Amino acid sequence: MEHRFRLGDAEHPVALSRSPQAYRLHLGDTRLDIRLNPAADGRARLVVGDRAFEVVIATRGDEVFVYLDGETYALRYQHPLDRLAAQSGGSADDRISAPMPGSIVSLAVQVGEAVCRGQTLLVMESMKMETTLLAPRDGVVAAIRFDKAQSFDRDAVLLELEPQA
Amino acid sequence: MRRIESRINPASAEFQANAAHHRALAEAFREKQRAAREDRPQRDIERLRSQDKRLVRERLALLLDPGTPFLEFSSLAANEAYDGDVPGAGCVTGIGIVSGRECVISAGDASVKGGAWYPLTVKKIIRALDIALENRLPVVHLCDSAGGFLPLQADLFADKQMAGRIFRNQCLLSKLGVQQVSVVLGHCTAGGAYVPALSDYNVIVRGTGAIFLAGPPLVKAATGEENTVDELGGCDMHTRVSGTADYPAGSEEEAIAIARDIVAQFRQPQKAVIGWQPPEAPFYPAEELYGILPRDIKQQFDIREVIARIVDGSRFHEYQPNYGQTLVCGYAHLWGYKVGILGNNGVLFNDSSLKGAHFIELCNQNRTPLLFLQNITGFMVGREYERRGITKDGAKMIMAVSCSEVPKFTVMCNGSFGAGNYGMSGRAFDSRFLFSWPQSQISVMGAEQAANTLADVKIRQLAKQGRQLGEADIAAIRDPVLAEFKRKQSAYWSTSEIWDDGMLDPVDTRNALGIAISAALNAPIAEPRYGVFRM
Repeated sequence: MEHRFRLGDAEHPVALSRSPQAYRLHLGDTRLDIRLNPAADGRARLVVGDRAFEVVIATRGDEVFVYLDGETYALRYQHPLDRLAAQSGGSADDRISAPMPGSIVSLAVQVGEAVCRGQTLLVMESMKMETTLLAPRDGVVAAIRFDKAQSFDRDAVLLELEPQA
Repeated sequence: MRRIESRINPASAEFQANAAHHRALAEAFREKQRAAREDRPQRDIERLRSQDKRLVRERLALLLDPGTPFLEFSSLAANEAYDGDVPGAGCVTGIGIVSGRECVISAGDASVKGGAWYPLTVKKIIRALDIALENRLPVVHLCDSAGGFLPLQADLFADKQMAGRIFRNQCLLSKLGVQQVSVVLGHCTAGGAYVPALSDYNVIVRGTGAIFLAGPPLVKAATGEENTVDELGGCDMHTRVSGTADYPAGSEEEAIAIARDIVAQFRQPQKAVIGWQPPEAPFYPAEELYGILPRDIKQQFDIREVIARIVDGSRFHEYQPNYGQTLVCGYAHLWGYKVGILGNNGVLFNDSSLKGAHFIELCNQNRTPLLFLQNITGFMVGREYERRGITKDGAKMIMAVSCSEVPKFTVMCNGSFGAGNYGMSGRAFDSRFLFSWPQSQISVMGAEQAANTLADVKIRQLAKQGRQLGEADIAAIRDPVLAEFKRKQSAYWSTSEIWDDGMLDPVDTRNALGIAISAALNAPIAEPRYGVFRM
């Protein structure tokens, strides 16, 4: 699987395979033997092809910071599933349907209102439990299909979003 | 595996209010636990000191490898029983590391009523030995008990799950090749005498340790024979003459050191092989669990937010993300161990039940232990759902849970009501370990529903006789039921009755589960086989 790292605004597709000694880096059609030898003081010796560098590497979640030649580079790893899912995002998430039969307890938005991903849209009740429905993505509320206290079946479309103009 | 993307906002007022509420609950729990472990009448402590005996926690410190974790079971057992006079049910049980081996420890606490066995003491010891049996864990018994608590003997002696079960479990452990060592640190009288006798190895302390079927007063009453404790069942008599005890020790310290050396001779376990990779801390901090759990048990929350704060790197491979969405299923790693997780995001429908049953079969097929995170109001009710066969789909899930061969672990995160408790591997379904969070509740239905149901029945009965009830009469029926239900559905009641293996501060859940999974792998994992699924 090809991995993507963001360095600044640029995206770099790379892949790794095993070499007899350590790993081999695939950069387009180029292949380079690479090795990373950590030293006791937190530094590491990075060997890329014929060249060797002294580096310090720190990671925080999906971010990797590499200190090299007096400069720090911040790389961001993007999981392939996130990248591919982001490409196909969109219309399926526009219709907010009821996960279970019930009724509306409260509406937190109005038609025409712009909402951000994760924002509360409405609170519904089913089987004595209150469930909060959140906006799956950024958008504008296009329609609200049920009023407060009105009951609905499972899978009924409660609210629709449309992309921001 | 991708990282779960958290949607909560830790800066929001709602989060902050939840966090304050749940931190307070966790602190209250820790204070209760501290009191149950430490607070004892001064005279009991002085009595033990004058007998040259150590307190049970001091003995544990000598027994366990320094710097290793001890997963204590049911620290609040019996806290709601016997007027709160028998903290921890008068014994300490748990999993600890002795000479590098994972062992079940069962230790009498002589600072509580001389270590007398109450009904819940017996239940707690049996549960510890069941854990040893199910997970094939060696056992170290630290024996110091006054014997059965006679006023309650009818509740602890004769039935299948009562005192005899302790000895039966010891025999089965030995038969399975799971080794046990007893350290006799006080008197082992009557039934208690069989604990060291049925252990593969035992050690006895000179002067304070004694083993006999009947102590000197009872012998005198029975036959007129006069004996000192040492003559009748002391260290030298048993290690030189009767052979009932194996190793003499001059002090508690020496006895426990001998026990550690015995455990070091035990066979190395061959652990079951499951998926494993180097562990990684969760990406999201566990402390955020306090703000995720709602203050009101009736409010739903996304169980993925909990999963994200328990599993390695907060990474989760979700199975069937679009189908049966009220049950979240998927794979993750926990302290490196691959696990299959089932967590509730609402009531169980037909599709969520089928998804759950299918996922449990998948985990058995690829030998992945199962973790159930319960927050369940039950299965969906109503004509439409009965017509679609909600009962038979729920039955499929219960069949899969019951016949599952991979180890199961259950955490009561919030609600556990009705048959949802069964489908999500409640206590009756042999989860290897089951833990509860302080706010969680368990009952056959919600307290208010139960109170209303009972009031309705009464109103209808009286209506047939042509009588009508006023508001006050209805409240008189309803309120006592409500109060009783609320008391008995609380996590404190559950843990007091040993319906779980202990209450956990939510932030400790990951560590507790890590120890639990590691311990569970001491037992082999059999091939799965199921009964008839009603299609």
